[in-house]
Amino acid sequence: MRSKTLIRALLALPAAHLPRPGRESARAGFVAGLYLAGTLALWLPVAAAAWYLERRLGTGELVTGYALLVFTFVLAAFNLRKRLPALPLGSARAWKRAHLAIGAIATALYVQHAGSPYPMGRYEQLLALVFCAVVVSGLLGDFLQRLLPRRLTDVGGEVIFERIPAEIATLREQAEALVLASVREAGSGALSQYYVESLDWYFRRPRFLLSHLTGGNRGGRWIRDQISALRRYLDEREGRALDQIEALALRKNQLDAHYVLQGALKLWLFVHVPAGMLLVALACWHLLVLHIYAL
Amino acid sequence: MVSGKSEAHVLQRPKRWDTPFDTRMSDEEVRELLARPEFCSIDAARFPAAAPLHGILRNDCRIVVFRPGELIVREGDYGNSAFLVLAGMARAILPPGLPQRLLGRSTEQPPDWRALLLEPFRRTRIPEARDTRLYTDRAGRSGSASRERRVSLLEIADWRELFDQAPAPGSERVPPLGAKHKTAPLPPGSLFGEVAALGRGQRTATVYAETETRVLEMRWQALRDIMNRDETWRQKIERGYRSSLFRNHLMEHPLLAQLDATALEKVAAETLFETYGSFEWHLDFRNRKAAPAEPLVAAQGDYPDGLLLITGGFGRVSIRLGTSARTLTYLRNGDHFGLDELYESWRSGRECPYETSLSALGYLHALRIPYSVLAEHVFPRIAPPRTRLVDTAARPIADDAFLEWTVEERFINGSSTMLIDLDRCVRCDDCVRACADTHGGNPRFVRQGATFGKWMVAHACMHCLDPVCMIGCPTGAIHRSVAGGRVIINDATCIGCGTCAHSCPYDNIRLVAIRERDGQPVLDPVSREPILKATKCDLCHGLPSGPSCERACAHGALKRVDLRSLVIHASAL
Repeated sequence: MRSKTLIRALLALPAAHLPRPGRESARAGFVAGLYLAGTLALWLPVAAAAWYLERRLGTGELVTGYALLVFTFVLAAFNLRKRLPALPLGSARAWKRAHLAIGAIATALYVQHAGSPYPMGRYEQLLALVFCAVVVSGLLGDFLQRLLPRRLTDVGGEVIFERIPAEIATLREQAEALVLASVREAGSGALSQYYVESLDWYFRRPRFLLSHLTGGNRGGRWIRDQISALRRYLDEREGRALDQIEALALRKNQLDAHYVLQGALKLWLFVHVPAGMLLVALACWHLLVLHIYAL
Repeated sequence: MVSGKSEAHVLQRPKRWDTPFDTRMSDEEVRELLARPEFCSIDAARFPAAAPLHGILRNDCRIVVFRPGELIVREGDYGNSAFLVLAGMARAILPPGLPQRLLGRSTEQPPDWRALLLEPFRRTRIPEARDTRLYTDRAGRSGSASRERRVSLLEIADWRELFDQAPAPGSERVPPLGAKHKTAPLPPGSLFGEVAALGRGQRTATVYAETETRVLEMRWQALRDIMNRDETWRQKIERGYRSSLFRNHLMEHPLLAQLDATALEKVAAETLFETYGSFEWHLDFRNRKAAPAEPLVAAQGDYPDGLLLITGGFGRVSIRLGTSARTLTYLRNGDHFGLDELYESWRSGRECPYETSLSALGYLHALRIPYSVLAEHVFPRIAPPRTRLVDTAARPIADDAFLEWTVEERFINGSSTMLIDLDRCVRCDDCVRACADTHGGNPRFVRQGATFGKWMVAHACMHCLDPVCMIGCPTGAIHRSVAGGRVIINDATCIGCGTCAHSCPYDNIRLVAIRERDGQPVLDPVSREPILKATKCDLCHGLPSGPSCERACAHGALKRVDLRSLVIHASAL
């Protein structure tokens, strides 16, 4: 209540003009409830009808199979929606929520349809494998999408993924120029020797990827250790050059973190989308074969 | 134009008047205009050879005839031109004006569904590809689209809503509006619409043709050029500007809503119009070598002598803190300053000094209502202020950090700022791709920008409340859409001079070298330099579902927001 009063006062607006944060979260809760109810409303009738027909006529698999095929098409259509941004097909956010809900229903129906996580036939096993790849990569993607953006925010120094290699190259050139200038001015070889032996390795390409991925700071520690180890051999003028190189190395450390975290946010899609496409194709073939030979 | 598979295309570099306001404007009409009293007294020798007076009238003006009852301008529309009544009689409807439903307002042009459906098949990999035939076909180009289908007051379903007596069919004069609608006549020689045109804002009143009315519609560039070189026009425009501000702000301000016409007249008679700072503040702001000047309007500790009603620009409300000032809030059009202290003075009978300071962020236009007038006419009729501006200083200083940042960076100017929640953004660039897909393969923003905590304000046009990018445009290519007030660029009339891009304080306008559809660059035949066009976000103008960037974000990270809600966002989290 106090914060609302503050905001109102802050903006010097009448109360009616202000959206209320409490209402926003209530709305978010309402939307989540709506999706849950929709998910259940979509799943329960199909599951119940399949169960009933299986008991009475032994044809429950037809219901779950056709439902799975329809759901698979709807799930794949999310990718199509992204390619048609000009058409009023609903927001991508709504599509994503529906994608998650229908994905959950499809998984439940798949278990009901296949009867076992690992079916008998070779083709069905392939289908099961691809289905699992889609589900697991989807779950992993969702997990990464919830986890990594915050870590990227914490890293700071926002950068576009495609520009990272060019930025690293620029940093490397700047560092090398600093070393060369320092050698020319000071005449000592300590900085250049150290650069060639260790810092050059660091500036070559993204480093400490696993540490960045798991939230560690090995890169930062490495820079600190290297710089402090080198500093004792340098005079004041070289020390100033080293300060600048340290700043470049720290920026490089940020870029490395962005490289691996943003890369992970993209990488899972390279499994999920092709596997999804393959699943659609395999499911269609499965249906065709079934109708030709089994029904 | 020469074209070839392996050769670059050439195109005469576009100039200011390649696209006149109306191609039908004739020399005879220009001569007729120059003979009128409004123009014959202007010293044509004061105009440069590149933009002579007759050229301005020929290319930046057009003559339009309105039938009785037709609306010439509508309250709330965004205007890019002013009107001079040449013949007939127009009439302005004074506040509170007509209900929206009687104004025949359509929100936007209906979407072109065929084009939308075919859009995926028309995408090209060639960046900034254009059909340059459109640039050379004068008839195929239109100027700043400022006209919609005309609406007539005589066509309303129930005449009783407007008139006391039924309009006679085919009548040459619109009957007087009902007693509840106040109007003012605009006889020949009257100039109107100049406030919205020069102030880059909304029309403040509706004007209709009472009889058949012939008007000269003048692009704001014409108005600017003439007023800069003729003192009579300058004074005329300034008088109109001030009287419009008085009329509209005083009559519509909620604080004065309880006043009757007589009291309002007295308030208007005593009110002063004040202006602080520079209208072209962006020049200072872009040059970030030093902090931009912020002229002080009212200083904490001084004694107030009048209530300030903000009518344009922005003001920073602050209190002294340490060696600097702490921002408590910012004020813009429609806000007021000094009420708490003045009311307290009136209530308690002792003088109360300003508890906060007000400084102009860029420029600030304000009306000052003297204390004596407030004490006599206003304070007895209003309820005591519920909150005091200075009370906001009770919150922790850290809570103001976001506000300080937005004010310092002048993001307060944005009405559709692209705000990205970095804690949600997965950096997938779906927003950029969606933008590119809806703009012929060319993204109109960059997903980078200033950050504060988890918030990023990306480099996308913010469709500013004060779009300073429009100030220097020589052709009027950059303009506000009539409905909605989006700032958009007419590609056909843009000459690529870069004035808008250099004026934008936020670097949100890009100049791009255009190519023919076959991928060859388009060059100036003389200099062999590429032909440039200014590009920026147009909020997906014409798309039925709004900005595609926002709708393409599957994670709800990207929003187009007005700054006020942006501040609320940050304060709420």
